[in-house]
Amino acid sequence: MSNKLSFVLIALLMCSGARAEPGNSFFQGEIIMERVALFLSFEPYSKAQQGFSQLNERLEEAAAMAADGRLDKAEEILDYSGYSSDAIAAALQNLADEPGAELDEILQLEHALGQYEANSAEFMLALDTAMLRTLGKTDSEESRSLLASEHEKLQDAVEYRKARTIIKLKAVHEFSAAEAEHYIKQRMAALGIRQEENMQTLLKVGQGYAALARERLEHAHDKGYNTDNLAGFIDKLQQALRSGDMLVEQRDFTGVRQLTRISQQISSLVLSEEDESMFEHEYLSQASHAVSEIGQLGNTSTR
Amino acid sequence: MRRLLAVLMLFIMIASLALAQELRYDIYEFKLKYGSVLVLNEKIFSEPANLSTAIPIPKDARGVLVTVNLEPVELEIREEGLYKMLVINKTQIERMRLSYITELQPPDEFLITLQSIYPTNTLQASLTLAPEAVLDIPFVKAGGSMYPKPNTVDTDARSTIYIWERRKLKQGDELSLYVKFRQKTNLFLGAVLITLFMVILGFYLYYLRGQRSRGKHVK
Repeated sequence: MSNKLSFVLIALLMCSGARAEPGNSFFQGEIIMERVALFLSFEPYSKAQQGFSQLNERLEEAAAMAADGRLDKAEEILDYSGYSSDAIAAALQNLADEPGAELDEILQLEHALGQYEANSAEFMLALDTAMLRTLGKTDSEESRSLLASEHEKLQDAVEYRKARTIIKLKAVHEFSAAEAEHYIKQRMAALGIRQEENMQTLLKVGQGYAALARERLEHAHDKGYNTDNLAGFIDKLQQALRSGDMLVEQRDFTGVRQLTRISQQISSLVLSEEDESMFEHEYLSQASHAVSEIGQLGNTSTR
Repeated sequence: MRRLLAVLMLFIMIASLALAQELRYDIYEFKLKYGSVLVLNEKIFSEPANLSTAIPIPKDARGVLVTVNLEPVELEIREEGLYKMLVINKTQIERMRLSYITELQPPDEFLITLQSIYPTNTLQASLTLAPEAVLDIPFVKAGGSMYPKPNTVDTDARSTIYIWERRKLKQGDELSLYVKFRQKTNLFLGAVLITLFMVILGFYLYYLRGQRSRGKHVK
């Protein structure tokens, strides 16, 4: 019923040629219909999946706004994510009781969370790129911390539920830790879950940030500023990102996440500063510290 | 949420050990109330052991008490991620006892993995339900709400006690327990209330009938 109403609303929207955006009644209508649909979804697993698709939809809408250079609207859209993520966290507490079914559900929701993480990272890169083109620098900390807090809330809920499910699975089937791990891998293969795809997306975002930073440094270099030191750090970063596939192959997903975070950190030193003359002297110690983290990451991943 | 995860992921283990040791007995007692659990663990070593240990306990653990060779130990606690870490540096330990209270989340489910960090001769875990609680599904029925099946079922005349025992555990072996329980329905109180209701209803109907017949009489 609620889905039909959503279709009618969207059809009206398309006919009118208007665009749904914050502050616009079509957008408010769309959000209300989505919330009603989520509220009326009684099956917890479907509710959580629906919540994730709404979160991803918000990111797509925000990315479209950013691509149009409407940065304030892009950031405003993200404020509408809270209801969906709260609904997901609540639904996670009521998944199937039978441990086999519960495991399948939690593995698929964990995968959905990984997709949301990758989509959030892609959106942040799109937003930073748009800011750089429009404002000459990036200023996206508020959006970044909002998305990070939504992700952390969902990750806590998923991890908590997964840990419970695994203990229940071990108790019911009297599995050892190794048997439980093997069973989980089997179920992931049977469900066609490949976390590697999300990790590849994160690596691409890391590479995108490094490329943006390099572009900015080259621009400063052309103007006569000495950017050799910072460019050296970006070189090392790009080198590490090129070998990031190895981390994915080794299923070192923590390593991939750290590498992407470091790339974003080093790049934001370059991207968030308007005055290019600062690249000659400032940030060198911070960049050096971040690059040394990459070195440690290499040691960790080879262990 | 992290606190809850800590409660759930209650891995009672010892992080570092000066010498390779063996446990003769590793005994856990869990006394459940609706919403919380009292945890008691006693480790009895085959030979006196030197320990430099950090024992993780849930962050919400309260009333924490540790004794070594029956002597209370002054607690050194540090916070580390999801856990509180109890730091113990002692020599010649023959038996070590640890007790604390922690919350259950959700309040009607008990989930735990016990991991033997040393080779252990006998691991025993007992779970005492609160007197007013019963298993959600009796464990004699298919499906059940207690896994794995206990080795022994006992009672202290008020509560049911379930006991699991495992022998000759290697380092890293685990015992996971899952119990779902609920508050016992008080049938006696229910019966009294229903009887009371029926009596009042009877009196009321009798009174109405009396009123009507008196009305007819007046006419």
